[in-house]
Amino acid sequence: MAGGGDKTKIYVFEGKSREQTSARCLSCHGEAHEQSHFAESAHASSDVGCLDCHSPHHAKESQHLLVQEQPQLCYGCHTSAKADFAKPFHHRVNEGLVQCNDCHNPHGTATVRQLRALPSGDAVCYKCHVDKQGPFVYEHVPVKTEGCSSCHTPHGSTNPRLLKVSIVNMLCLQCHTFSSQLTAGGPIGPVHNQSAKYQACTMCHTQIHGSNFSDVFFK
Amino acid sequence: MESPRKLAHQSILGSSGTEPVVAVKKRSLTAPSSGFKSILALLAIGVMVALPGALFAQSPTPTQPPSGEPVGVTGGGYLIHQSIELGYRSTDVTGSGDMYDTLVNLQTGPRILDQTLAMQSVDHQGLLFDDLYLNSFGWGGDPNNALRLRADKNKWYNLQTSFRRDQYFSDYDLLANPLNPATSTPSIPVLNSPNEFETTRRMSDFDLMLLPQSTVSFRLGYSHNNMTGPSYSSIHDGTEASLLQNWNTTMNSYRLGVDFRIAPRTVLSYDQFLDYYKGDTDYQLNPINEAFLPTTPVSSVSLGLSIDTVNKEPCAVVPPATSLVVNGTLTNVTCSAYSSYVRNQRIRTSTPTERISLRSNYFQRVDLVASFSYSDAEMSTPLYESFGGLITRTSTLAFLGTGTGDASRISDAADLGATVHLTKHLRLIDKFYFWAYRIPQNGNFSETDSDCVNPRACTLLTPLSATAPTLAPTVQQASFNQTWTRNQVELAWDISKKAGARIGYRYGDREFNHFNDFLPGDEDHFVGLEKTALLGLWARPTHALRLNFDLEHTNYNAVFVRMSPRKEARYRFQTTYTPRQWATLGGSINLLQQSNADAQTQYVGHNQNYGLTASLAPRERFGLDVAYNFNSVIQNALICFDDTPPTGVILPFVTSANGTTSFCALNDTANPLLADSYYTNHTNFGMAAVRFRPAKRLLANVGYSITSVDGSMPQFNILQPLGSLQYKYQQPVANLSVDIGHRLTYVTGWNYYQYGEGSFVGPTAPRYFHANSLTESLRYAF
Repeated sequence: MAGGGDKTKIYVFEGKSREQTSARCLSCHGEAHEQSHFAESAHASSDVGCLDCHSPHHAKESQHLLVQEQPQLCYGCHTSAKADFAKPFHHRVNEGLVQCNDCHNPHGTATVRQLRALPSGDAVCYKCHVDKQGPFVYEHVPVKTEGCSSCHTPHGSTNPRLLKVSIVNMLCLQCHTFSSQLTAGGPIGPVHNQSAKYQACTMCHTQIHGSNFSDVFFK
Repeated sequence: MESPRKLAHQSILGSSGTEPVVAVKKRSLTAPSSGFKSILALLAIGVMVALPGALFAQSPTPTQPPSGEPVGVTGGGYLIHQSIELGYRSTDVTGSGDMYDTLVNLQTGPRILDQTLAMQSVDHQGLLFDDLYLNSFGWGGDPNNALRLRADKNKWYNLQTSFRRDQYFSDYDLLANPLNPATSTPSIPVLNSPNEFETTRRMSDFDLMLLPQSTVSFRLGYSHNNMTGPSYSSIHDGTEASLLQNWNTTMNSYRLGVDFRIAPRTVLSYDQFLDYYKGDTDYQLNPINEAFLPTTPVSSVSLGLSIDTVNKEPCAVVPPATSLVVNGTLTNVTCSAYSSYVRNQRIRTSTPTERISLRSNYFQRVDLVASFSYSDAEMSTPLYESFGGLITRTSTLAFLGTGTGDASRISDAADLGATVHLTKHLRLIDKFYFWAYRIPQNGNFSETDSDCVNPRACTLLTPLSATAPTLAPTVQQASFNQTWTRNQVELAWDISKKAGARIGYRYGDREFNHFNDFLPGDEDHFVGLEKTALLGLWARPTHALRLNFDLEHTNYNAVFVRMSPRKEARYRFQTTYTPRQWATLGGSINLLQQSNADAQTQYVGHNQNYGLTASLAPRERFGLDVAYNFNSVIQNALICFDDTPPTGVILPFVTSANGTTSFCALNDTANPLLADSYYTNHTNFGMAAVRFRPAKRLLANVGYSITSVDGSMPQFNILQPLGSLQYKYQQPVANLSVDIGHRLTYVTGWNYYQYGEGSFVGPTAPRYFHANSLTESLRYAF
């Protein structure tokens, strides 16, 4: 080399497998908490390595040396997410307010879908939606046991409030119907005539995520 | 008090008694005041004129200058890039302004559209930092704006901070709308959502790592989340009263951590977290649909949101009166109505959490990561609730609720991940996850009701002196807990550099207990097992082509929620093909199949997604992006419900409405009807964008996107619009950038938004709008 160095000591990524190049990066960056789960991540298992998202010398985004800015980088493979965030009701990812890695850790997590979790183990949703976390005197138990995605589609939805169906009552009735299969005891059905009045369950049951004063989530 | 702008008080006080007077509100409270606009405009001009040298400028931003990347300047040992884009947005909306604000909410006014500063130490010997990156956008009134800052000094610190502001407006008039019928007298449709929101969430995050490469590193962090603003909800007691509440919730989070590098490639960490939540949202009566009482002096009550006199909501019309309200005066004083309501709470939740974690690559063939955390959230709140009016059902003229509630959430979370490199091409991956929590709850409330001594003579005119107090205490003691363990093991084989496969198995175990009042036998117990087969394949047959396939097949032996699947299958296929450096093609198929064959549930659902993308830029002067996506969602399950359709209307989806006894009628007499609650949704998404340079100093973009939704589901009520089940959302866009020299770029952009629901509107305001948003800006960058 012109400077007199030993060229053989320079690690060359070319020709190496994704696992080899990633291992090289992680020999330093693997100590960080953020990257600690990479080895068992879905990305690693799918042969997605560090250099698929990062470029140490030719990055187009200076913060994390990404080859492309979020969310376009993620959309490159996750095309369904692009359509989800284009739906009229969506988390503000395309607007730049929320980033993919606010909820997911692309380097892997201890849970499925590379989802982040709060240190207490609670869903990452509560990082922003702090008023829904509780604990409440009267918990709507499935919110805790099944998670937010029981009723909401987090990326984007064709329905307001990111609901899974367009009419609230049906969402409620699907669980609040008698069933003998539930060993834990099923929730009772409503006692309301669907035609006469109470056309939306949430008109009265306003505190549906949990209440401190009403066991039927009125207040 | 600031009040929401859209849900106008629908007063009937000054009307003829049948028509509401809907206050005409200013279209937007979110646009800056004219004074603020002037200040901002002057500031913008001042910045542009006074700081040509200080607006250093440029790094990647949404609007790239047409003449290539700026080179930056060097000063003080730093390579500096900076940019700022100042502009003015003008918007006009036709149709429902509420829907526009719900979906878009970009208003007229001057803006700092984007700003970026990047500084890199040329020799990594910067005094305070080696690298600094600052980006912000949306200042001046856009609903979303953010500032993100990163700075680091090699070996000394790494700082990341952000501030984000989200102004959230929601007025979708079909959520919680009572669908007041035209047959009511008076007929007063609710045209705005009773759950309208106009809140602003401000989120700040600050994370600092000290001595990141030392044997001992320290981490400090702080986050602040504050949501304020007016919103509406409702309370059901007698009638559905509309409530106004000014949101005020705050979460302060503190983080302190230390990393010990206890051995080569081995880090032991300890973290202490403290979250402190304050919920200070108060509720008060929003006097919607007011009517005079026939008293002297004159007083009034709110009849609430539901006005359906045929169904006696809030009461029937008593002949000889022809309407519930005549000349603004209530003709039936036995109605449930509100004259006052207030509810105060002061929720305080303190959540300390400790976590210890380990990550190690000490052994050459083993990657290890583990953590354990313990958290104890303690919540307490007092209650003060006061009501005045009439609750007909209980002949209550007033009540006062007081007491305290408290709850805890004690949780343990642990994970262990190990990757064992068996050979150069074969590795075993194990992930174990454990999460257990218990939530004991206590409520100690008392409600003092002022009930009429003579219920039959109880009216809104009855004095409180004719009531007797009734004390109703509520003592709630309950608890539930869940223990969840999950282990996933995979064997991954890199067959070659061109192909690989993995096979695995995930086992989950959930145990749940629910104690109500801790009485003998009053305990729900649930144990559920999850067994999942995993398979993954990947291939890179050529350097340009990548193929990925994954599947998961899950069986659950029991479900906790009726609609949870007992069988679940996920298939995912993704491919990208880059035949040239300028061409990238992509495709994906995501299939989720769910079912629960229980005879009383018969749940079948799927979420199928098919997508194609192409990004082509064959010449420097031309580029094309196209994407198409089809999403099919189906959700079918049996439901039990009660319904009485109007005469002549048959509910075709009900399979046992003709008197046949169903399991619903046998087990739940309140909900005897059985139906298939089908929900289908087909969404087509398409977009195309072309960018081209007609001249060296010009850059143009033209694009169009559409989301088209079509679906079906049973209609429980003939007044129920299908709403978001059928619509098109279209967004054409065009912009032009002109390099005018002197590091300045003129940018003009046009966005068009059109949202229209193509189905029956019902007794609600139509949910259609189209809007033009024109933005003109100057960008200074170097």
